[in-house]
Amino acid sequence: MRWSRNRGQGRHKALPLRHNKWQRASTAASPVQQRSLGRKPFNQKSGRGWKSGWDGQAQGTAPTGRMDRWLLMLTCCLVAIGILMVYSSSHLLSSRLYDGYSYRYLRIHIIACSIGLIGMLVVSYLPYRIYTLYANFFLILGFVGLLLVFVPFLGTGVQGAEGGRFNRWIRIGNSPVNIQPVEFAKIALVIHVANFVSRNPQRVKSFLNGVLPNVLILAAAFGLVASQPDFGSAFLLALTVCIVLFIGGIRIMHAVALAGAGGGLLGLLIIRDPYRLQRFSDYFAMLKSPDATNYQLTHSLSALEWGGLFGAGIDSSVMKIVRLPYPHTDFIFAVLGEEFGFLGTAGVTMLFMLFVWRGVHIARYASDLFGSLLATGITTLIGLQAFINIGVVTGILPTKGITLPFISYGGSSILFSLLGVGILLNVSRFSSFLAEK
Amino acid sequence: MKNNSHLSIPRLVLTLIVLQVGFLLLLGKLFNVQIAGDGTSRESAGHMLSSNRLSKVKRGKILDRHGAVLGLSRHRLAVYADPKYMKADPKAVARKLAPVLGASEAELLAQLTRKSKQFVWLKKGLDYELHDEVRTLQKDIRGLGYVVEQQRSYPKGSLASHVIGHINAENKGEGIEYQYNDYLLSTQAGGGQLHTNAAGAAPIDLLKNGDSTEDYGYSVILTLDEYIQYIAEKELAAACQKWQAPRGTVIVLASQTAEILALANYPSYDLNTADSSDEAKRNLGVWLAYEPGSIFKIVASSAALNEGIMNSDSSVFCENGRFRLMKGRVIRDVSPKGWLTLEEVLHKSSNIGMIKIVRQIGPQLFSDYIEKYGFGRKTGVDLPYEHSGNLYTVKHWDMNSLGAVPFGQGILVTPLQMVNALNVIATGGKLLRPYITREIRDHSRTVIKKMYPIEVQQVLRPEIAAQMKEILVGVVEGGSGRRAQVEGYRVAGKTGTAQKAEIGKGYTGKETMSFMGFLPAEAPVVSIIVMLDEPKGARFSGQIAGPLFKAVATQTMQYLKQTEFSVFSASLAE
Repeated sequence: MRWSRNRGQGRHKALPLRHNKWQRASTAASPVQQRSLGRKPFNQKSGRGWKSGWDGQAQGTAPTGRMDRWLLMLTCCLVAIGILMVYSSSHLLSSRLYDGYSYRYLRIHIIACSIGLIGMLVVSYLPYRIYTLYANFFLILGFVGLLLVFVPFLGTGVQGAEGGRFNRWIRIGNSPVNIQPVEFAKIALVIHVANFVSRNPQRVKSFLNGVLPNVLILAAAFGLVASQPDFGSAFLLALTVCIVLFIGGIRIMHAVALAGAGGGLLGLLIIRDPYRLQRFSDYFAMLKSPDATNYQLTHSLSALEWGGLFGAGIDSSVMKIVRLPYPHTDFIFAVLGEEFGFLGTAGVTMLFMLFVWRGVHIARYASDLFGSLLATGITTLIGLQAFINIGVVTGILPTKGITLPFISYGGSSILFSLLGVGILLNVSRFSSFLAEK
Repeated sequence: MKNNSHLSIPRLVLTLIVLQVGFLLLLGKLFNVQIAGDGTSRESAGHMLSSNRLSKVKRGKILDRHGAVLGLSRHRLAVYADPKYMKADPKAVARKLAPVLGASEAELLAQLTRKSKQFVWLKKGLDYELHDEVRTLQKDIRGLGYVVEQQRSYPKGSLASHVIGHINAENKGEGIEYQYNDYLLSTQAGGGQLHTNAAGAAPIDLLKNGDSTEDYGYSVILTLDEYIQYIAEKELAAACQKWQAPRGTVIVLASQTAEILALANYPSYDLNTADSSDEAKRNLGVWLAYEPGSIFKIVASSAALNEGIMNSDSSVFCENGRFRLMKGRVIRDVSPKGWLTLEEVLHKSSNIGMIKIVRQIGPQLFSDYIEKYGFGRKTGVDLPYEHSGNLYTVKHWDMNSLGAVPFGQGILVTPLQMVNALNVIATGGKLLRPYITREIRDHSRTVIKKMYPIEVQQVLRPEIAAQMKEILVGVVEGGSGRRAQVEGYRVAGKTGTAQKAEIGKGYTGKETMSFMGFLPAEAPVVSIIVMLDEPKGARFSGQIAGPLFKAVATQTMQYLKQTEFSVFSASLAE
């Protein structure tokens, strides 16, 4: 780690400047922030460079300087499984659509993973408190992105059934690269809420000054995402923001009111949209009698069941050939289940459980409230997304177009998930865990 | 944690717990689906791409002994679309597809615009002739695809349905389709080399180029005769309906070779729809174990003759219709008799006389002969799920069972075992192994495998077999089997009425009625067993099974006479 030492010294010099900037940025210098700002000079003996410089704190929260190896390992495992499964589930589709070239999806996926992993490492060295400076900028950027999908020249709309359009992607120039801005918006919103709460933890106790502004922003984002329409992501976004607010300490009464309002809105949205209503009535019919499932679910369950305990073996999925819709994105977990059986599906599920545990652990021992909330938000985003995806595939939840983090094919999803992990890793660098022991 | 005092740790822990419980729920559901699954969704969703339907190998044919096709596979095209990838205007696509697929434009358009479904079948079961056109279309239109499927088709509908059987995606099934699956899918000399991977899934290059006409599986040529099978099924169904019997069986064996010429079960089902219950799909002829009743009396009588303990004139005293065994059990005869000869015991079907005969030969010798006749073990016929019957009472003799087995109660046999045992008398004392497949040939008609009659063992001396034959002719001509007489032929046969025991209830008055015999007695050509389970309205099998036997035998002999018995070229010498 020689290079990090050199860098560390460079960063150390820049420290006072940024330090001031933060103080300016914060409206009222809370005790939390004052404590969280490192004052101890760079520790020459430790040799751990800038990490020590940023973290050595007067109050005794000695930094570990090390990122959370567990989280890194789990992420790499999931990404590796993802690459394997994306190839296994997409090569037939690719060869069908691109004249026998079976590596197209794999190639794009590997490129996305590589960029994502590099980005993750870079971000993991980027002190997370920097985001407090750019929180508003990110938020605006996120909203712009969400709006851009509706712009005719930029947005890549897909003509849907019954005349509807799916506006989920932004095209970059004439290149084949499409970006799904909702992935960025999710993280931007989490950063914003975490920043908002941690700036003045007392403020969220008040409804008007604390809860309402966040709820309004959330409502705006929710509305934009839901009108793409991407109901799954909108739901995920709302749930995550609510959890961050909840951890951030809003009053229980407010939380209950929020949940009630959310539930009411959800019901309204479902009832007003016949297509969605159909899915939900399918879902409840299915709960009553498992035979009355829809096409996708029938086949994903069939694939899972076919897998049994050990699975049919790699690349032996029959369902992926034509039966499963989107075998490499939304239903990749079903292919996993067919090829690797219960061992595979339970393994991946447990990897996500460990991931959530590790994420919450990082949040618990983060060096300040902002770090905690940021870590909670990102962990919840990824964990919930995995939960929803697996829930859809196994029929616990109604069908939604949502990918499995790290594993599904999809550049934006994998990239921003990995960047999110980068932020988590950085939070873990500042962890007070060792100090407490 | 002074620096992070605003973090609510209980709330954080609560969130963690909720998330983890959610994941545990998923694990539970996964366990349910993948391990504890009850198989319903697999069956109903039908994991529809079964190894057979997607196999590169075109499954072989199933033919009767003269080459009539009983089952064959056809290639069919199934065209689907993926609307997400379809960039072209759905209307234009529909217009282009409609004439080729033979579907209306409106229908196709409706499918193509169903974005929410993400995968839609446009047309299934398309003629394979359209392959080139469909392939051209597929290259032109992004998001259009097709698969070559195999459709198993049975031109004769329900004919020989239990023999032909079926096979499902998990390679489980019944009949020839199951028994000879490896051959039907094999193209290699030596058999067994299948073009599927470990999971039985389709080869993956199938979708790259949809054509796969080069590989044909072997054809299985049965010993069944389409017409005799038809007669047997028709007459059996008529009799079962007339006597309200819920099930029944007719088996026609070629006497000298033990080839199965017909194996009919009632109820039957249509192979093309195959939507009946599993019970209706069972091949009762080899699967149903029943108490044979008096039909079993040939075993003890022939044993007594063969061992020289009795001759056909030896007499036993029949106690005037009432015979008290140990434990107070009383055996009755339908018509009380005094002294009867062995021949008369069979003619009158006297139970008491039979017990007396078995007492003379002794339990050990009797059970030896039961096993010599092939009871208690599988006959070795090439059909799956053969029942071996049950000789529990024979292996654990007590005076009670010894009192019942001689006249065929208290043991379980299958109809095939029974008719094959009778066939011993028709072949001059030899027990043969019945079989149902003559040959297996590859696509160019080269014989891959040929079956020959196999002699299991000599059970009776030829002269004793001839003596038994004459006794059995007497049964039909002057005894209980009068209604089974066939005009122009001497028939040797035996009736059987067996009470049915039900678990926990004992004998409840339900009966199994059967008749078996062979003809012509001088030079036996066919051996036939007919069996009706729980018929209503008649007391003795002579009234029910006799006429059914007669109907099947008469028509079979007419048919064989017209074809000059040419079907029986195969003999033991061959």
